[in-house]
Amino acid sequence: DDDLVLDDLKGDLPEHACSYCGIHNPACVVKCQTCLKWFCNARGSTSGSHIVNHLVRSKHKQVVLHQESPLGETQPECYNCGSKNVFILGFIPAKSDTVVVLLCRQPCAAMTGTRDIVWDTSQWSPLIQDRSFLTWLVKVPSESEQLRARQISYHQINRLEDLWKENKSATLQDLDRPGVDEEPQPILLRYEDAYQYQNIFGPLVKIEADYDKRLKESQSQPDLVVRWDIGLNQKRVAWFAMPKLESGEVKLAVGDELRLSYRGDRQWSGIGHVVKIPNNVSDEIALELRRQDAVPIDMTHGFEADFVWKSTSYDRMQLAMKTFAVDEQSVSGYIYHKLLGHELEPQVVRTQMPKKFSAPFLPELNHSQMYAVKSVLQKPLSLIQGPPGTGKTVTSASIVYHLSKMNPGQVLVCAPSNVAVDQLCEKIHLTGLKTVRLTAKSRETVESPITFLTLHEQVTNSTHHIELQKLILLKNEQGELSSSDERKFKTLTRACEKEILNAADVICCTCVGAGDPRLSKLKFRTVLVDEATQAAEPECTIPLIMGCKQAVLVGDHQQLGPVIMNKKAARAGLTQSLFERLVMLGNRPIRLQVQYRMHPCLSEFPSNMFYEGTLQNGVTAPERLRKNVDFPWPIPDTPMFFYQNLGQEEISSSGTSFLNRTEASNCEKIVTKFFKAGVVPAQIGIVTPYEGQRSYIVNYMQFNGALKKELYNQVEVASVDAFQGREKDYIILSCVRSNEHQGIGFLSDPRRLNVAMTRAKFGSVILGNPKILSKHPLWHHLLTHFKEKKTLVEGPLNNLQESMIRFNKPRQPLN
Amino acid sequence: DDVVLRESERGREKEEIPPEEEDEFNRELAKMATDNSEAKKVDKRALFDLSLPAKKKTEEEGGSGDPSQMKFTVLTKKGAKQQTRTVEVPSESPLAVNSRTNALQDQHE
Ligand SMILES: [Zn+2]
Ligand SMILES: [Zn+2]
Ligand SMILES: [Zn+2]
Repeated sequence: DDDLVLDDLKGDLPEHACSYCGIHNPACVVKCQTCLKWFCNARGSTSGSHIVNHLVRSKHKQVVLHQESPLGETQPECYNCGSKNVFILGFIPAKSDTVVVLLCRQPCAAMTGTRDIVWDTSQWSPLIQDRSFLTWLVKVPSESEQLRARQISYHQINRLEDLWKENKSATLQDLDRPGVDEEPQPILLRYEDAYQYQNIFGPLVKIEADYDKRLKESQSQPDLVVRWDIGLNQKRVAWFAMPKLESGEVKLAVGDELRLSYRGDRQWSGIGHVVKIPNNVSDEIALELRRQDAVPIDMTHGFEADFVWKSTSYDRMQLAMKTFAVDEQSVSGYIYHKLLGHELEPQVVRTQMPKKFSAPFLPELNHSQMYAVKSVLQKPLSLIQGPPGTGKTVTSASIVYHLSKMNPGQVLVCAPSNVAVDQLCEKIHLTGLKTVRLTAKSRETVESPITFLTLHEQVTNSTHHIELQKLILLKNEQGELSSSDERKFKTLTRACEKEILNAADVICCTCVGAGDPRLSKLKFRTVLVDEATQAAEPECTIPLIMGCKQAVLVGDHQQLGPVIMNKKAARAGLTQSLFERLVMLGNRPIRLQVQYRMHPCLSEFPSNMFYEGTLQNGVTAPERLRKNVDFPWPIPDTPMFFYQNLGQEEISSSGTSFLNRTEASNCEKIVTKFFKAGVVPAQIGIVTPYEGQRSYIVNYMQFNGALKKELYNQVEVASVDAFQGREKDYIILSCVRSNEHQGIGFLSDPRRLNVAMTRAKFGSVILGNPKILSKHPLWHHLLTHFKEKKTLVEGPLNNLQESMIRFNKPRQPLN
Repeated sequence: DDVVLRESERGREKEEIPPEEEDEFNRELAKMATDNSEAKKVDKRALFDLSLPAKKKTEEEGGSGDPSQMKFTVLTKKGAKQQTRTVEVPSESPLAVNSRTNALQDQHE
């Protein structure tokens, strides 16, 4: 029998052999239309059949059936709309005949409804069921066929899929080649020197960069319909919707570059940067084109967009680590050793302390904020932990004010996100300090409340250079300058920028922005990084290696950390922030302890669970109760409840998604109740960890909302991650997960739970299945908390009753 | 050849799939099934106009005789043209069971 196996595998397999296991029975295989590889419908060591496993792992969605299949060589598609995504296709039978037709679940199968006399849409059954193709369409290879096939392990399949992302024609044999698919060296707690530091972080940043590049460049979007417009700066702007973006496959940010191409009678392509991304109001993207000539503005159809990947941020991280290693002047000796985790005698900065720790035009500081400001000013390196709603921004701004007054040179203020930089920048400006906000060139046209503080706006408004002003006016009128004028314009701009930067007290930019060439000549002895727990360590290093002698990192390691896309890099530790490592090394963060956001009943659990019970309330219960809002809180003075929903989650193999219809429908009921009580849409936020549920709730409220549609689409429905750093008056959390056997996924991350629990000011409702969630120790605690408060309830919204459900025992004790 | 030997050593022993990876897989699978419905411009009437294909007599009568299978006609499109194909569906599949139930109901009505 062994010989048989050998023969079969030695010999050349036909083209249609399964790329995992080699099975090549024509009745059992399907071709992936994206990568043109064949796969069989057997499960082997994976939980889905080989073809389904491949499609999910590689995010491919279209297939072609084998010529000898019952349907012949065809690509399954929706009879009505032509959608070819096999994950949403299913058969609908006729009501009175043995005829079936293939329709997509949404919108086509959902649309026909009860009015249809021919088709029985209630009987829609998916093409992919229980993670394999319908077996009457694609047969499952027999047991003996499977035994004779190549025995590929689950692990090998994963590695092979990873390998295909780099090399499309890789085979199983390639996995054994040396150097292929090695795990990178993991991060350390302490480093001997900056060379070792660079040697470990350098490869991780590269892996992440390569992954990002591949992902972005593989996302090309055909068949776009473009609407043309002209911006205020006379530049051409293309408006279009990008369906891939909405499906969550690609993330797009303002400033990203796209290449727009036209493939019609004439060929054209042009690069532009995104000036607007989809929001609640419109799904469209606005792309401002770099060059204005030969743009096919008379055309609307047949455009295609591709990402132009830029390595800038990764290059800057690499450069920062190199500078840290080779340039002794990059940081003070003390900071150098601190960053590497070496033991050091505590050092005190000799300085004249201010009499008053609050800053002008900012709110008075409370005790713990004042303590934080005071201790930061005397230490060369400090960490401030700001739990939700504790006035992190005001504290940071006050610190920056004093640091600026006490030290020579400019203070550099950074955060990983533009939003955070803008918020802090605005507060710092209030204190009267000369503040400059440096943005990337590609973000210059983005409107923000602090546009007047941006470097380019300050250049435009500068009265020092009459000639530059003239050229700017000319450029705005004509769109372009003659080449000699352009040269003059550039020189003058640079001189003016330099002047403004040199005169500034504070320069604010993102961590990556600190690597901007316009700052390369400047030294920053004093640096503050806000949201430092959301930056990957190499990102946080960028602002620190510009001559730093005193550093302040502000963040909260009990909330979500940096997002790392590549799994290898994440596993190796790139998800850990510098802040977190410094905490692990024994540097105690100073914690802000008074929260001003949540009704005291809402802060109790997070305080006990995540902050050792130290969180105090700066707001009183009466201040956070709205008497005129008539809402059925089970305990009137306690605006919170856990709403027991036993509805099943739908696992996507049923063709639907990770969603929970019961929770979605209850979400709508709660929102409607809030509306009727006078709460406006902007005050409500719906948080859910799953994209499937997010889009389901949005659609559900649109079609089933009891009140006017416009009200519902103004309610923000977003992931936990998207709500980090923000607040709403009322929050509804839809947990979704409700199954007996699988985990609770996303929800098991304590930091995500913390963020989800701390967004609401006036009240919050959690929708979930207590039976299932209680298996997880953290959720067991949460549920017990609600139960003790008599706020674990069930029944209709207008007649909520205490739930008597018995919790499951948590699987493992919480430590 | 080495590869083959090493692999047959492994045998078919089932590996445990780590639960967090299983969960990740489910999440990815869920994402695949989220398709933006608004992005598609769909003609609503077209679907109501979708009538049953006229059946050829021979097809209807020519049952395979295999009681474990039931014949269905799949309606597909090639360009703008309607096409049909006959497939055999296991009698226990929901599709077949449901169709038989409907047929019985019709007889009683
Ligand atoms: Zn593929
Ligand atoms: Zn296979
Ligand atoms: Zn469709």
